[in-house]
Amino acid sequence: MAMPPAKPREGSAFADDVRQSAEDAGISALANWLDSCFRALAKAAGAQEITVPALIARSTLESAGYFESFPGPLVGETADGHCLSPATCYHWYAQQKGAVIEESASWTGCALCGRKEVESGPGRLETFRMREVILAGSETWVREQRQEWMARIVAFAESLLLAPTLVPASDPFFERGEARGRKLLQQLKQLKYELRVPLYTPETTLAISSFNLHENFFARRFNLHRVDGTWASTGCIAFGLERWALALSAKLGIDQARRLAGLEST
Amino acid sequence: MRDKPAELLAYINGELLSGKGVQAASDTRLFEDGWIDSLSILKLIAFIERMTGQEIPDEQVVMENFQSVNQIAHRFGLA
Repeated sequence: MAMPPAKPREGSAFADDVRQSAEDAGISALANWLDSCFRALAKAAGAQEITVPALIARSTLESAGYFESFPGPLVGETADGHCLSPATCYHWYAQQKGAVIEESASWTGCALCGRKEVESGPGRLETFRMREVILAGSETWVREQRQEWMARIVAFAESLLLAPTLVPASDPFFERGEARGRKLLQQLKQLKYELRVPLYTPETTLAISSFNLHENFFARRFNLHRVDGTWASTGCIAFGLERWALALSAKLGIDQARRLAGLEST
Repeated sequence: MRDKPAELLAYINGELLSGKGVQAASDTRLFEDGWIDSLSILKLIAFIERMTGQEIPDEQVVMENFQSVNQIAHRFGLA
């Protein structure tokens, strides 16, 4: 007599796999919803939507000085010298190379990104989606816009009960030579702020957004000028979509988070 | 013999700002106009460390301590 298939027991590897798949699907849908929120906020702030290619040329990252600060391996590098971009804004710089920024303005786009993170832990993914708002124009305007975006996103995170904290930060630059100098300048001039939220415990926080001033660092490398011939100032606001979704799910539970987003529960 | 703040100012003007067409005074905000770049800040820190004989931890490299020659001198005991 044929035995009926064994029913997976709670806690079995099979049940864990099913639960993980459902959670992954839930996180992905939440990330999509969050992206639609950030896109709407960007559009309301006057940002122009850009579309970006799936991969970026290694030569673009070389032009950006990426390897001077982050000499580690790239993700998804192809034989013809392309890879996943470490951040969405590199695509924008590639598109705008040599441009004259006639008026201070903003752009928004979303890309699948890849990074070989030095540290491991929840939310540190090798591939992830990042929406960004890119700011370009006068230094004063870019700085003011960053300030407005910080207030806007803190309020948004608070509306989701995420208990956000805005903290000065610096990139995990390779800490030798000029890259160390860039890190110290970034810290000294408060060029980078991170929005951090508690993840599972109050002591463990996860950075879910960053607010960055690039001054004219990238403008010099991609030849971006203002109408008066001076270097453009640039900056960016970045949203790690899976990190936002993970934080929201950890705070509310996946079902409540999905209900908040107007999605069906898993 | 120059006092230490004057020595620091002379180093900044003679070494770090040389060829840039600008000269700092003791109360000039060194970092707000982009005068000090990522290489210069490392040289500046190394120079202060040599003057004081003490290492400056990265967490002390903040605007409150480095805004001007006067503030650097005050914070790191050169005044």
